[in-house]
Amino acid sequence: MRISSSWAHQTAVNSMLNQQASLQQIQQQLSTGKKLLTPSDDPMAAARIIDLNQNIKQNEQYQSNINTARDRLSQQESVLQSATDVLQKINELGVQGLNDTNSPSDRASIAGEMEELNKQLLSIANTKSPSGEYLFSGFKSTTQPFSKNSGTTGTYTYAGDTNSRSIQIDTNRQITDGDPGSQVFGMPTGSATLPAAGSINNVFEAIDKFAADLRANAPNSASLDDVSKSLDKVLSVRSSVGIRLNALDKQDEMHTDSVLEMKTVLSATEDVDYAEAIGRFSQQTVSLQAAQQTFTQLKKLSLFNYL
Amino acid sequence: MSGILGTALSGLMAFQRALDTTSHNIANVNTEGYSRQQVQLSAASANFTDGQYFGQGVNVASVSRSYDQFISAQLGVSTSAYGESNTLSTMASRIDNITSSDATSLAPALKSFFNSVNGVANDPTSIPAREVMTSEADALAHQFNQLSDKFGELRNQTNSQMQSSVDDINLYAESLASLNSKIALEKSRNSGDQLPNDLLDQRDLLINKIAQKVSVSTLAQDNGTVDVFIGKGQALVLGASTAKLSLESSSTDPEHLEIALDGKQITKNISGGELSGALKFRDQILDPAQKQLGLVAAGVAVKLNEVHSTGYDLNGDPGTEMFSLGTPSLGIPAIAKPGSVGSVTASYDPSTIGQLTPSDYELSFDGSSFSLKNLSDNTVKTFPGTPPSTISGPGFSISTDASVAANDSFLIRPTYNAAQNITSKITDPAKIAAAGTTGGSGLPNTGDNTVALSLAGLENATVLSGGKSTLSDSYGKLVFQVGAQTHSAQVSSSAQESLLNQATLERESLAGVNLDEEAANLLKYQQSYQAAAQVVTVANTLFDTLIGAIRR
Repeated sequence: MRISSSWAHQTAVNSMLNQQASLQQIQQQLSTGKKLLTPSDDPMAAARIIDLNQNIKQNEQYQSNINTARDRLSQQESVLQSATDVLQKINELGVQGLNDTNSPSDRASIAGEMEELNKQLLSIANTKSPSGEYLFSGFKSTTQPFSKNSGTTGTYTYAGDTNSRSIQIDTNRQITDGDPGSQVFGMPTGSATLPAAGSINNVFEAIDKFAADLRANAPNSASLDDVSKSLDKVLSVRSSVGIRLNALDKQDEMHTDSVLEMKTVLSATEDVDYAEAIGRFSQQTVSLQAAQQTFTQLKKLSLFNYL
Repeated sequence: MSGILGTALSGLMAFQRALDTTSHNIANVNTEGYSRQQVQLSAASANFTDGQYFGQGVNVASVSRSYDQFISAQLGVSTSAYGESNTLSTMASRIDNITSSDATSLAPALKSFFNSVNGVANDPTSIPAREVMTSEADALAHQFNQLSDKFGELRNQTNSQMQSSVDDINLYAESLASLNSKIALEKSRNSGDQLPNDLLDQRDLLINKIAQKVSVSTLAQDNGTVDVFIGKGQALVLGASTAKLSLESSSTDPEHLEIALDGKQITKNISGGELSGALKFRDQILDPAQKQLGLVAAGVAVKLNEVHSTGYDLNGDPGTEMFSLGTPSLGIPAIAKPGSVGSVTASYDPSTIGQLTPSDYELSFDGSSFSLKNLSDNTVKTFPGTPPSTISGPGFSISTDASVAANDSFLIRPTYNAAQNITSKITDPAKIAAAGTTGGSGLPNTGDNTVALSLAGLENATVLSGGKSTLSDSYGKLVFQVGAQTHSAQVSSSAQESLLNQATLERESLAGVNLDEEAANLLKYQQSYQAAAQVVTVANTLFDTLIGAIRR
């Protein structure tokens, strides 16, 4: 076949340009560490990478949600621990006060101590989170949940609501990050007449009633039932908080595992295999050099050299 | 003896012409479109003397160029095909880079926005968390706008590429017409036997240059001129006259350019070449990508607004709209076609937004019923009735004014401008409606996060494509579509390149100049010339011998 001189020149130049382009591509892969430089390199893989990145970030967001829930529940757990301690102390005082060997003045001082402890318990129920929200007021997180009524003695008001907030910890899983005060400490009677001892639902009202009876030297042993029922309520919320904390830890672990797994797949999909890429790089360098050398050699050959 | 001299002289003349042609070939070794020329020699007719035929030397029969019509046509076809696929692949790579680069892609912005919604759901009372959410919402809207702007830049580039192709074609067509008349003139000069080779080469080159811009077919005429046709037989050059190619704005969108030949629209007939590559890029990659992006924007705005307006903000007031897609905030552009007298208004319909498709629609009224045509797949839905009435499309609804008359038609573009127009409407962090309940105005349930949870849940909800795709899936689909189309354009471009190389190789193999061959020819004709000159010397010696004999 006839070879045209200018076309021979052009094809040699073109092939060198192509080799340089491939070399540039490998160099970019090596310098970015990415196998795919644009989605068109492998559209399927590009779509998968978006999916994986999305899922990884999603899981990381769930982990961050879990941390928020865990902080809240841990705080609630330690607050409930203090409430338990106080209630146990009140229970001991109650048992002691019911004993008939006590003189009226002994009972009055026990009642005084009990009232102080009740104030402490009230302030525990009105604890705020570090971000300034009340822990036990349901959705009305900026409203103080419990307050002592000034009009009627020994009654309290609950200003929160009965809702509790959920936190998304997985695609289809939510967990409540707190419990409303009405559930933990019992719904107060409010302005209504206080029921008889033994059927008082709210802990503060029960203790105030107990203390008032002691002060009047006429304690009712049923008041002790009120206190221990309240203690049971607190303990049952505590154990539910513990279960939730445990669930959070398990969910967190699951997310950590799946993030790790997805990151492995992501790396296999988008990261360059350095050994393989460097191999290709040196191979491509050799062929570019060969093209350059043969080009200059061929250019030297001409019949005009001998005319 | 005069016979010897005459014969030698004819040889000297012929070999000088052959050396001229060889040097012309050498001089044009790098000339684009040049075909090598050869002197065709033929023996001069013999003289009948003494009962015998005696030869009388050599004649230059013609100077011919190495040319093959089939190879030349093949080269034209390959040039058009490569011009088209190369333009398509070059432009597609640009949009490919834009949709995937971390700086311009939508995926990270969408993710950050939903992360900030989760932040509010985790701590609905926190003003900083709400501030993050308002600024992320703003950033998300901005990212839509930015991507849409990038698409707009690509549209401008495509338009200017089309303009420069059209200008080039007009220029080449005029040069070709004037070459046509020169060639016809030259051909009439010598009764048509001898061809003006270099003018023919120039004309072939021009045809090839037009072929690079747009597919052409040619028809040779007896007078030596060539007629050039583009598209489906529309004449660009007829003899010495040309038709003018131009770009015209579409009646419904000034940025959408149509190709016209002498004022008649031929966009649909255009095939091959850079012009068709730019058209294909616009119609098959850029416009669908813009509409798909708009679909995501419309989905984000309509769904988030819908959920957000069910909530209550930090002041205890009902939630307002988070995003706006225009004026009114859920309005869709409806453009009346020229000649229409009535008007219609269109807006997104939150209850059917999942059915929205990345298409434009045409609503027309024939006097008794409306028909809504999907301009992507040309399916038509008919709605009997007379204006004013309300038409429910997939994802939107159209209210027709009483003024709408028969034969009115309107272009409805639910997705085309959505990414361009989306803006975030909430700047006050307290206005984020995270709560599902309220105690009334001024009595907010600050700890209630139920609506914030629902907003965050939209991230994983399959709200688009008839309940098959999440918002992020829909953007992923855009990246995948653009990537796959770019990939196939690149594959096709490199296939067409090797076909073009093959065609060029064949042409060059036939018509290209080989310097070694010319050097050998140079030697051959030089030797022949020297030999003919020797014959003159011999004739001279013979003459001297004869004169010497007489003188004695």
